Amino acid sequence: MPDPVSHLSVETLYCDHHGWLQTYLRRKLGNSFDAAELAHDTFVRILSAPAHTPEKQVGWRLSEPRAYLTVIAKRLVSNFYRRRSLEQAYIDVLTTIPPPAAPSEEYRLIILESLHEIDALLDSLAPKSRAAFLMAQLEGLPYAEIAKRLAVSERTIKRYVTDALARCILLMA
Amino acid sequence: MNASDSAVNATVARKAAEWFLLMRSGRASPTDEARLDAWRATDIKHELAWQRALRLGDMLEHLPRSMAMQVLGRPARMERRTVIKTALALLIAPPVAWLAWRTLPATGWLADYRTATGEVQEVRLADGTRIVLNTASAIDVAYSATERLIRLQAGEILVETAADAVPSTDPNYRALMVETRHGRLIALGTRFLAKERDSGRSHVAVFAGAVEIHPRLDGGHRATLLAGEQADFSDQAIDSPTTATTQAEDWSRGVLRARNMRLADFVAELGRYRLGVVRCDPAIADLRISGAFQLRDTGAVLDSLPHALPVVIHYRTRYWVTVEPATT
Repeated sequence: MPDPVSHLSVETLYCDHHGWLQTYLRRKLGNSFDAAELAHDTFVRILSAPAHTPEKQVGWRLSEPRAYLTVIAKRLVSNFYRRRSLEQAYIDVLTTIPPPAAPSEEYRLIILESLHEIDALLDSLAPKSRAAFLMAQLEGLPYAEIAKRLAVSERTIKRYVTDALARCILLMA
Repeated sequence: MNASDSAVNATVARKAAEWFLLMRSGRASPTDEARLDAWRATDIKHELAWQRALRLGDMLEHLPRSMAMQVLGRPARMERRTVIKTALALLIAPPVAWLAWRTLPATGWLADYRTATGEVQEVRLADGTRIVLNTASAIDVAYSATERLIRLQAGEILVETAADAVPSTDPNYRALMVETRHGRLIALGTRFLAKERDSGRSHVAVFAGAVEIHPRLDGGHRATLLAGEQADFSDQAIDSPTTATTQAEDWSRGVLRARNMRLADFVAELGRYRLGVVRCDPAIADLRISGAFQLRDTGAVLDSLPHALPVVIHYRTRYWVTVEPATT
């Protein structure tokens, strides 16, 4: 149940800062359509914060509301870029597949959803850890081969893969 | 109940990851399995973490491997400008590319002969005609009492007709034809190559004899190409012929020959023979390269580039390779 008081503080936050946030995002993204969308998402994010988070406590007040909004908005911008770059990479790959082998449209969307989900989970990993995880779990390469390619020891690869998987499990909903 | 009671923490996630990797390694003993079962039963958090690992494993397993590798293994961060260009490309590019897919017959898998990416295959037909299929190509062969028809379903082929046992004036003569999406090519005792370009046109280059082009939608219109000529055509028009060099058929011998070729073009050409994506950094796109390269092992060709040019090869994954300027 949303608390009426915290609801009120989000409302105040919205009235006072929505315009500013949208301008901030427009400058960052270079277009007002995406900026409006992400500004909206920022407030939705705050409203839908889990009940035990500070946003949902009675009398929640922000001493630096714009700094707070910026943090959330920045994260959303980064997600937005990640999605875009993934979609572009996906399209790039799709266009290189000879038409006879091309998957159906429905299947393509299912794949895209899985790709987005995994991509988001892997987002915070270091590049080598990410590469090691993908080579092991997706390509099915043995650790020795991955170690050779990434020029680190097999032990390190094992640690990379375990860390990456643990991170995914932690983040999965 | 506090929300964190049922949440998976880092320690549990790590343990679940270790179990998962052990089970997938093929080295788990029955004892291990029993211990895993016990661990899962100890705490609801353990079971939850285990289920997540299974779901992730399942997701990964159902992704088309090479495609997922290229997408998830793409270079880490794009500059804002690239992404904005990308955003525009998303609006423009997909309908064209995806439309092309939908309208193409999905018969490639059923084609009589096909090659995988990186494969070049030679086929000899019953009448002695020799056909070489380039990388990622497919043809159907439909010989009847009146004609010999080869349908190009995808990619590029080199056709060498057998010495005619029957002269073309004989009523028993069967014309040899290659059909592309854009029209028919009638071979007049010849060696030629036919391919469909990405730009949605067909291309023909003649090395011996002559070939007659018949665009699909214009029955009356035709043009004859002689040896040493090449031309592009759409389903209703034929471009003026230009000079064809025999270099164009080098691939049929498994060779990529470059004469003072732009590195970007070279890399793009090489990329046709590799699964995945090969990119050339724009900073070195205009470097020049010459030589004859074996297409059978594109990895070796890539690895040899740093010996000839100030470049490094960066393997992001097996399917995502970039050629970058060497840092000095």
